[in-house]
Amino acid sequence: MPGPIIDLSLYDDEQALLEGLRRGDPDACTCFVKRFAPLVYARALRLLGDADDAENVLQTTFIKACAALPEYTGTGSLKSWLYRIASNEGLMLLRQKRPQVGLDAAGELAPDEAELPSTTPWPTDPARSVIEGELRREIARAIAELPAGLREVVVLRDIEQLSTEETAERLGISPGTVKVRLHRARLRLRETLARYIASEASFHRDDA
Amino acid sequence: MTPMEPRERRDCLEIVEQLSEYLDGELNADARTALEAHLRYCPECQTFLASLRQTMHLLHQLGEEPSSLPPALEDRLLHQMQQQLTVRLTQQSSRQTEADDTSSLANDHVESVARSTMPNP
Repeated sequence: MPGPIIDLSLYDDEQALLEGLRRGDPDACTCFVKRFAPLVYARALRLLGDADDAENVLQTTFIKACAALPEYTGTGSLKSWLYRIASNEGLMLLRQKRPQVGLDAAGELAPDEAELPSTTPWPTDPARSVIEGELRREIARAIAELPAGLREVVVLRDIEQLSTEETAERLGISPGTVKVRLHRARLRLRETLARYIASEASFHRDDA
Repeated sequence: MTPMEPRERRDCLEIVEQLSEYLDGELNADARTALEAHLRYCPECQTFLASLRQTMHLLHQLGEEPSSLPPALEDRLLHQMQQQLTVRLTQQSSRQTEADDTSSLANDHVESVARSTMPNP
């Protein structure tokens, strides 16, 4: 095990990092983990909404990546290669855990939307406060609370920013279903954020 | 804000249903024109559109944010990865040795065949 202090810039170049890993250099391995594991873990956590599941996916992703290194051809970035392995692993885990109900009929996931959602203007610009930990935690929590069928779509489309077609292909559902679920997921997240922002604003008003 | 007529309310419900596709640029031209015409006279739908756009913006930002790993998790992963690399290297080197052995056996075989088929002097 290498010591905790190593020069992480040693392997800034991806090609050099790959060569280091193929040689079995422990420093390359440390750089690989330190640079990419937080990103992969964050994505897995968003997709699965559970820390233990995210850790499982993280470990499987790195083990698989490590085993596939000799064959890895290096087209595209290492990061997107790892993301792809991680989201495949994550989606597989979601499928195993999901109760056996048909989710492909888009209607089943439609919430009670006979009512027009609230259209109270947001009192603050949430984009400005995105770095505030509180709001970040609120969004993460709201995503984690979405039903898996909505969560996987919004994570792939809005966080990983895949296209509708790519998302449909990855999930094995039709582009139309992707669109319906994405809209449902966004509406729910919007409602949660609107409630949070409104309560924050009223808290600050009372405070003043 | 004055309460909306039922007809307008129904329009708003239809509009809200199309807003994601509109923001994603996936709405066809006719539907887009109709939606934009509605938005021009409906402040509620304008507000709703703005908040949906902000929600999407926050989600995009969430994907680009630097993130950190719990230290204990990083240690476990590092340990596992180092073991994995060691195993892989050991396998590689034993495969290499096997390959060397095989090729030297093959050479021995060729030589012995050559010797046996050579006419005696």
